[in-house]
Amino acid sequence: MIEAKNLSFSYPFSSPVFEEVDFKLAPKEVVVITGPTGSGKSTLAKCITGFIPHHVDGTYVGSIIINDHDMGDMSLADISRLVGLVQQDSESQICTLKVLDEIAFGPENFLVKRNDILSRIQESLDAIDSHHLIERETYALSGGEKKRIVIASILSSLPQYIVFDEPTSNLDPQGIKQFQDLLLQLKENNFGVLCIEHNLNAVLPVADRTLKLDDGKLVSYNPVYESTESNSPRIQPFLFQEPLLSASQISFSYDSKIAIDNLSLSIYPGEIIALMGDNGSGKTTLLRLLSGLLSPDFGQIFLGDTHIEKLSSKDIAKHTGIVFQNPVHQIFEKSVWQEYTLGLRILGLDDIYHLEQAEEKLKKYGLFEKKNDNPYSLSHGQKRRLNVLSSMVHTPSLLIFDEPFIGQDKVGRTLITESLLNHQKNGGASIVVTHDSEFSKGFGNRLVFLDSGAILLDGTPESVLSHLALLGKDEYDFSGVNQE
Amino acid sequence: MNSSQSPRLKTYEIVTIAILGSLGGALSTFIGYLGNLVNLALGVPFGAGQFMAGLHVFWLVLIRIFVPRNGAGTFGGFLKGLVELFTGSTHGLVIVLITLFQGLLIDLGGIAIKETPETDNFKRFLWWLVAGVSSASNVFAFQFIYFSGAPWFYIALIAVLAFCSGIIFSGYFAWETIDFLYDTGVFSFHTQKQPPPTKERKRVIYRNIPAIAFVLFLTIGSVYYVGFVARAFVDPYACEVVGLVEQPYVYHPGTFPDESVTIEAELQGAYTHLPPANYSGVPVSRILHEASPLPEASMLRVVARDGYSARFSLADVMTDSRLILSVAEDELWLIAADYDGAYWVHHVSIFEVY
Amino acid sequence: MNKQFGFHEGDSFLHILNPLAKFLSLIFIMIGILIYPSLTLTIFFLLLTLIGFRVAQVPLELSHNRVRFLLVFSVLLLVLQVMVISNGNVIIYLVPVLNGTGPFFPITDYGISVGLVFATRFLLIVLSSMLFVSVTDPTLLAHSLARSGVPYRYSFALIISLRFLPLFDAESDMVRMAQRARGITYDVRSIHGILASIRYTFYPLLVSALSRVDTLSMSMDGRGFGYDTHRTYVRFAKWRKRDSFLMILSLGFLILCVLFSFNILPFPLILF
Repeated sequence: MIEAKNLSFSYPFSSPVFEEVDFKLAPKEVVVITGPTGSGKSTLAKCITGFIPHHVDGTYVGSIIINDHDMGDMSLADISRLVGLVQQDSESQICTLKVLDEIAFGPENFLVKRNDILSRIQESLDAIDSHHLIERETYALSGGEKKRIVIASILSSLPQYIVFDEPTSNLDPQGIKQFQDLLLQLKENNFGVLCIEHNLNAVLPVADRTLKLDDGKLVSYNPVYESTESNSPRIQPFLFQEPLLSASQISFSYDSKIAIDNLSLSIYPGEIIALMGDNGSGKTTLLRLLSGLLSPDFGQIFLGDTHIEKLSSKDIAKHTGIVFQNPVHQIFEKSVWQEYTLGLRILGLDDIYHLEQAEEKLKKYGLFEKKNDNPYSLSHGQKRRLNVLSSMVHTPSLLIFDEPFIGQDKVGRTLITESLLNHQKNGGASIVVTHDSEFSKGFGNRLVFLDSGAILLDGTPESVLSHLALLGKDEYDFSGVNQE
Repeated sequence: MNSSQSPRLKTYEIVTIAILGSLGGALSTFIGYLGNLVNLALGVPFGAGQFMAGLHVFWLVLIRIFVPRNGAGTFGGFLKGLVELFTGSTHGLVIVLITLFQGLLIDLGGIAIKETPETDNFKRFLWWLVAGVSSASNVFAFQFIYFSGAPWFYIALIAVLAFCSGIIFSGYFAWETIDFLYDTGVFSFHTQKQPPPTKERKRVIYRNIPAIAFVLFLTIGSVYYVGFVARAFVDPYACEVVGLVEQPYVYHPGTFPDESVTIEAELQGAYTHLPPANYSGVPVSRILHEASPLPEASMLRVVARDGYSARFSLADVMTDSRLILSVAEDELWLIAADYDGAYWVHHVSIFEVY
Repeated sequence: MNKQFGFHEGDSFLHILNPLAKFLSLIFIMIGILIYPSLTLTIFFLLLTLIGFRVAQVPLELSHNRVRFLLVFSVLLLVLQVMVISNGNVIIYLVPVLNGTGPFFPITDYGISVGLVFATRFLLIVLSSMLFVSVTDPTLLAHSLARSGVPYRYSFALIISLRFLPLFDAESDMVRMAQRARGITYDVRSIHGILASIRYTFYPLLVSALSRVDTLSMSMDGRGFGYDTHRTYVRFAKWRKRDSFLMILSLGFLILCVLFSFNILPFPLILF
């Protein structure tokens, strides 16, 4: 049993993250803690796993008892043999080159004998059903596989409790389903599981109890299902006009792996296209092809009526606004304002008219007070908003967004959605990669579903989702929303 | 960042070194690419490689500042070198030795300067100098391994180029980057000494003005020095007389202005020959006589700047009036009239008596 | 990691040698060759290296850009050296006597031999390093270092660096794409432009890389990293007799080189 009593914590020079929190986690139990972004959920997870106060400075009051021992008297190594923390970013938790080494890492450090480690590796991989990965190189794993390996590498130290911090944030609906099965399996094997989760729907089906951390207090919580379905009438695309962009029979492969297979797609003014599909189905590659960042091995892409390969990157940038997955990879300047208006300067549009318009927009997005701040110092959600704004600053006709909603709270989601709708009203088109069927149904007027690099379904969101259900992929019509 | 307490590196310090070393290794191709762009823009076939030298040391400076421990630079240099070795660097194992040495220089600088440089402008100059020296060090290593006989003057000039690159990229730019990174908050909870909230944005440039001025002065000074003053020290017309002599000295063509003789000689090489011509110069016997060879000496080795050498019997030399040291274009040339072509040593720099 | 030049798994003689023994031998031989520049020895080791590629079944394709670059560069070194050196027996003058001036640019036997030494030495250094890399599992090298007395927390840094390398490669591709998407082009006509190009590439990558430090160090500490000064290993390379033999050979070679270069033979002769 883990028991936190009267727990309070504050980082140096800041107000308390939470105060007088009481919490219990028993073996064979799955507890979910939810709460808005910045409510201190991750901080709480670090307390329960001993990293606070062992690894992180701050003011710590209260106590945590684990299996009748006070954590304050234990070393981090001793604590970590009882409770493991799976952090949000799997990529950064892998420190070795081979899956086998990664899972062996913990027991090796704890001086476990070689033969015992070998059997622990087997057991850990069995627990996550991933025996086939044992000989693989860690860098070549997919996102979902990396998450599994991180979990296995903690299981091999034989903890009794596992804490997950935002485990489903980068998973596709299928991955979420598999993760739910994994939680059930862990529970069956007597583990006590704590899930810190923002996307409640993803873990609610397997939770025994749900708590909410808000305003520094931890309280029990009975979630209600909320829908963000928009009430505004959807705009029909202007199909009678010339397409903004058209791709005909394009194919692309990485080395020998086919990513896009003989795909054709036209994008018309007034469309908001939700691009969906499993992880690895080629969505990101398709976006890169459509924006001229990759050249197709076969087939052609036209931006307006010009072959995209005949255009310089500046010309393409004039007509397209692109948002990539990782917000940090697309911030270049030293202040929010500089970053935001970079596109105007590059395209020679930094005149008073454009700059004033840009300023208005920045105010609306709530980033104006931060205009002199270092853009990298913004929160994840703010960075994402800045990415979206920067990509649209020169009013391109086509927006290409890769997972813009990850890490966004309700305010951020609404702002981004509004921008897309505004853009649509002005005759622009957008293509948005998302796993969120609520967005597709609420705001998209077309849904393209990719499977193994080809278009499986293309039509109105309702018809595509109902076809998906018929094909046994009903998980696509359930995830997303109800995010705090 | 807290540097004091235990001598053992904390895990996050090790991870910081490893990650910066890795990123530095991964970006070395980008640096090469940028160097090629600069070459293209300047219309020269090479040279910008050294102009970019400071960008390699940049990573070691970052490591030493973010992990302010003695040895962190050397450790980081070794690691960055290994990363480049494992990615198939064009220099193979040599790159490990070079980056290791560059890291060592940064560490030595760090030990000498002691504190982290945030506080004090003077310390900042010192850091920039150390970064410049560390950048320039690679020139000498590469010269030693890949080339011999390059005139001193050119090596010094390239070294100054690398030094300037170090000042710009691993000095000025590195500090701009360090300030910038502290600003991003990426060092979340390990950073104790967050720089205090700053007054205005201009501060990076403002704070650096004295350092920039100083470094500009220094750079111009060193170019001048190499171009005009140092040239005298690596005088192509100087020849040292050393070894078993009573009075070693440096011979210059002007040393014995009245003793020059003119002889007719014909170079008979193994494969080629030069027709008879007149050569003027001071007899080698006269030059050696001035240094007074010791009685036990029996041989003379004439050493050229490119490492070539030829050996003569000292007794023969002292009686040979047709063995003279002549002045040719940018060099001293040994005219060995009665010897075959291989003994006509160009670029003579040393007479060693033994 | 670059597929052509990274580690090639295999079970050849070279693969199963202890990584540390291989690494130290490589260093000893290289230092030996550097302080005692003999053409014969360099060519001998160069041939040995080429045989090594065969034995280890690592392809060394002449058509590959990198290999071609190495060859071109070594020829360049040879030519440059020949042009610079005017001593030794002149074989031919590139510019003969004309109207009483000249001759210029002598090609000498000494110049050619020095040029050959430098060109072959360059090839030897790079090719033997490539061979070493392709037959050595870096994880086992780090573990061997640790088992030889280096604190394992430090030798582990090598593993971390190499583990993140492919990620950083992919990230720098990503950043370059994001730059193109915004219309950013590199401007190298002024120092200002060069610095801006570097900033646009370094800053996103630095922030992204450094933001991993906390997660990774917590993850490692949370799995007992540094729990004790020692640890156990699932995969490690044994030190066998043949490794000691290799060490004795290469160390012996180094000592011989030191003796040679300080005493016995005069400089031009040791080239052969």
